[in-house]
Amino acid sequence: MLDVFTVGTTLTVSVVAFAVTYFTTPPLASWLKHRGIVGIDVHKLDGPKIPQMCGLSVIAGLAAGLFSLELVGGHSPDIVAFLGTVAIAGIIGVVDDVRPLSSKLKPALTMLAAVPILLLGTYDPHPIFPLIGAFRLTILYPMLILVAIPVTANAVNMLDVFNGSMSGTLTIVSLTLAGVLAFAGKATAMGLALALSGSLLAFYLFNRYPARVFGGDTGSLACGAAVGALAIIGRVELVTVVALVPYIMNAFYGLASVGRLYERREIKPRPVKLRSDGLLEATTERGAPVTLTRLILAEGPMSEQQIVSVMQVLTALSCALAIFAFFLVEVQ
Amino acid sequence: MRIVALSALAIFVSLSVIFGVSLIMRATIFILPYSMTEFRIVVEVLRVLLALALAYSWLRGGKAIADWYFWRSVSLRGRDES
Repeated sequence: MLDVFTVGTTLTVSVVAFAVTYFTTPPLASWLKHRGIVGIDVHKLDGPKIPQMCGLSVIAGLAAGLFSLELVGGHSPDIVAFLGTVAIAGIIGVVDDVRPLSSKLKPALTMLAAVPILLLGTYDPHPIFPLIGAFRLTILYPMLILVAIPVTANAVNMLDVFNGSMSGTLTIVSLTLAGVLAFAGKATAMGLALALSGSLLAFYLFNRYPARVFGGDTGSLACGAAVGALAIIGRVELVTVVALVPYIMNAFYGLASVGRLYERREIKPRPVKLRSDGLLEATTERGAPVTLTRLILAEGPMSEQQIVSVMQVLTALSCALAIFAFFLVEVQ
Repeated sequence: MRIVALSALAIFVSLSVIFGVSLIMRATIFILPYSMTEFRIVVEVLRVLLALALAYSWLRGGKAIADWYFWRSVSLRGRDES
């Protein structure tokens, strides 16, 4: 476990990331709105136009946090690999926001985000599982990293559907990972998690209901890849999977319902519809994917805020079980 | 009731991830033990394929439960409204 001084100094990383995201988001949003880079908030009756691609400020905050981590904790290839992964995923997100990529090309391109981790060798090919211990995968583990980063990036991207749904839930996940990594005595990895949580928390203040900014695919792919990178660099693979259970449920159930990789835009039968009273309701169309939102709305209509609150409760629950999984691994 | 049902589903999925992964890995090591060092790459590939197959069937099981919950809730809601 890390000492109080190390945790305290590393917390400054979170403060730096928070401050940079908090102060860069409003000017970036104004600039994007001025340039017409906006998205329609389809879950509001008046369909307001919201500046998109503001996830760039999350990446900026994260980068600033990581630079301060270099200053506080010294140089580490983990920091470079993490930043490289986030930057590549962010660039793919920008391309997707400007010119939407196909449902097959996007996951394929996000594989590139795994390259910095592979090149710098910031992984250990012996993932640890509860009740078993380390599982030797010396040859295949690098190939699994190429799959893991697109999976987390796209799973996070698929849940970024409501105001604050991605930023709020992922703040909880990254704070949980920071706590777990502090217990594991991994100062640098904890710093990475704290930078991510600081940046996401600042962004959440603008992205929560009623959203003033959208992160776009830029934000969701970068943050999803960041969580995947954190799992690999911090050697908390299983803990991260458990913390991301609401994301996995949403992504897998959606994909299994449709039977193939899909883009939200290309699915005609919609999973939810907006009612005239402003509430959201699950559709009963058989062809629509059974997503987490549809499961939440199964028993009746809800407001957007209520849906996001349920998502946050489910994430908090899965994070509590992730901590339980961590202690099971530690006992091992 | 809704949050209770969804929380139960999330807890079930999370716990089955924690213990299911361990069971899957144990089964994989049992079928393809570490002692088979002469074909390491083949063993590792088979191990991952076997683990993925088991994980996929487990995910399909979770999906079946989610589907059952969704359509049951929708039909109950329809009955209440009519």
